[in-house]
Amino acid sequence: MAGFDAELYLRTRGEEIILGLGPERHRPWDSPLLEQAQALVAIGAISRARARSVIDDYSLAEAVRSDQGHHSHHRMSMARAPRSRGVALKPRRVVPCNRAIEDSNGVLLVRHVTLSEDTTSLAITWRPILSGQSRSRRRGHMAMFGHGPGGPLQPQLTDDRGTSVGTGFGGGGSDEEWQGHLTADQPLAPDTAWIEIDGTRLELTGEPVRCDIKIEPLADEATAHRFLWRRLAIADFHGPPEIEGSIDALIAAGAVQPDDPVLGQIRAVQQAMPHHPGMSSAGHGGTRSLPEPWRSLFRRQGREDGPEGTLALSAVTPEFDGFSVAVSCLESRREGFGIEVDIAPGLEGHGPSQGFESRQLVWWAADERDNHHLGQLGSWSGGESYSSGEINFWPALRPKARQLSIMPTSETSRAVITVPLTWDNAQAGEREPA
Amino acid sequence: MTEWWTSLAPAQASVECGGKRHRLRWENGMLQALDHGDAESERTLAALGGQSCTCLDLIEAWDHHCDDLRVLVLGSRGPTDILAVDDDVTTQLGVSRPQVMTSGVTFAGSVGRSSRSRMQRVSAMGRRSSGWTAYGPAGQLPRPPGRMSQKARAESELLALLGLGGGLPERLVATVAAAWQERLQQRTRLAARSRAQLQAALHGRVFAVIRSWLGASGPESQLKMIGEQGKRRLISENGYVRAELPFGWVVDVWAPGLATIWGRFCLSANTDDGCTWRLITVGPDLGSPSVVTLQLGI
Repeated sequence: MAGFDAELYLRTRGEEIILGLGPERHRPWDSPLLEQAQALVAIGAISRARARSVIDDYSLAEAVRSDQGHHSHHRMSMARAPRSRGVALKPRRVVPCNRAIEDSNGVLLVRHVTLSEDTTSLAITWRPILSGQSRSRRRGHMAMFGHGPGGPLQPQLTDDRGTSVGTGFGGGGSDEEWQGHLTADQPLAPDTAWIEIDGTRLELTGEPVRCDIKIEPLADEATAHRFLWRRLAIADFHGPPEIEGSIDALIAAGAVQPDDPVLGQIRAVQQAMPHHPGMSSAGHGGTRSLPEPWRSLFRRQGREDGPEGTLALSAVTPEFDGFSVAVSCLESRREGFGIEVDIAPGLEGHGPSQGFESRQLVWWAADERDNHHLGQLGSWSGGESYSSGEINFWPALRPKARQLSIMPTSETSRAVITVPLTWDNAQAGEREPA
Repeated sequence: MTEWWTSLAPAQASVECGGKRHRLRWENGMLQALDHGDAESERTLAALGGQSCTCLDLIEAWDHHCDDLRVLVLGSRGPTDILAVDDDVTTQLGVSRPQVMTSGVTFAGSVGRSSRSRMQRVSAMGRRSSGWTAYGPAGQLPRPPGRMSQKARAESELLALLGLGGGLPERLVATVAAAWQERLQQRTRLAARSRAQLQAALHGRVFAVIRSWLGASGPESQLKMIGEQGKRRLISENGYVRAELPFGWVVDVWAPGLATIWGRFCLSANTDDGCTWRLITVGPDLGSPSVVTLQLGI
């Protein structure tokens, strides 16, 4: 990087954007410079603060030239907050249920219950009974704190101490089926033996699956390569991550050579990435020549033969690269699987811009035959000290997979949380009239 | 040696101030509030009455930002680069309006009358200023706590200045560029640390000119920022347009609107008397430079 001035590079790109010669703005909430800035920060060519200063300058310069005014710039500026240290995570109590409760409004399937000192939530599927005329295929994703989807879905929860609380629904779906979480207005007793949902009692008897946890360093790799591979693994809202800006910056900095064969592999993976998890590959070429873990990722892409079931987990990792992760639940569906996690310190924002403000984890998983899965942030909440939410993985689990290693991966190390996939008691849903 | 503003014509804008249209005029490196005779008294009275004075707020904002490098980032690169800033400066200042302490602060000199103070402080690195003092030196007087952050307030001030119209935003860019040209010549540490920002400011303006001069689909371009005394060049090299110009080109050539003349790119503009200008120019073939002489006067 001798003689390379990263700030000048970024500012010159900023000038090109002002002159209408720069890259297109793919995400209205992000600066087009973000991609290059992230790459240059990753290789140590510029400090994060200095890069942020450049991005701020040119975001405002763009804003004063746009009809939208300063909206997006201010949104970016306001989005930043000082970072704090994470808190020590405690395992949550997760009890798989798979109980269906039917009443005149529809069928409420309680998949599992999560209890902790600060929250109580039920993972549910709600199938309302529709009148014949009103059916539609509308889909949506929303948080509901009044009437729930398809009718009044805000049941009251009661624990074995006699505490009763209201709930709110957050999730998504169509008129026929909604999936999401009912979150209690106040936490119930974490060790309650049962809960009642509008008077229907659920005994909470399930035990969590024991997991093996270890921390391991990542294999040595060129910093620029590692950055680009990580970048590919972090989901974007609008299809495959844009990496050419990063590559240009890394080449300019001398961190990679234009004819580096790894760049060819990275571009091939980028081409093969689906526009949305579960969709067919965006690329037209084959994926057999791609390196692992990507090759196995794409091999099962689009399959909808995953096992269905929920495993309650009780796994909290030691600190690795400053992160700690607690995994409390693994829920497998035909088209993919998800986990419920707490992460300390908390994550800010979403997508690649979030990666600039705070460090991110890449979520890999692999079964015992090295079939890989890639996770992306789903619904998310929390603060600076810790965040809670869902990580949704694709492709679906192999039906015969017997073991899954969940690997939250930081810059230099990763946690490996190995889960035995024992679906025996988690498959069938018991239906009971309310 | 002539002053940096010699080649810049006066500029003037009007703003809504106290329910009337008032004039702000820039001339000879200074911004003046023409309709405020005793600015100090007016400012004090306004502050005591909990009111503001747009003209004086803008004078103060100008003083805050007369060496602010963000002006070069935000300001126009040329006639084709049009800003969409809200030209209602009272709206901009409404959220950022500087507030004057009404006790414990002594205002000195011809308060708020013009904006050259900070520039003169900059200049005073090499020579004594003329004793003029602006009220509320930037960042030195305490300000009442407000809901806006200092950064947001400064940003709003900038936007207000850039929305003034009447050529004042362009004069602000020239003012800032002149301050940094001087710092570069004096080889200050601050100038060295800010080199990337200065070179980018030059880059954007040079290539905005070249782009419209040679056509939007012109060849790739490269810029080398040279020292103020270096040999200025604009050549074709390996299919690239290569410019070698000092940062001072922004002040001497770009700011007065001399970047292209008679279809030629201007490398430098010099005068001994402020009336006769000697321009070194290059044609679109990027061949040898030729001199163009301009005579100002009857």
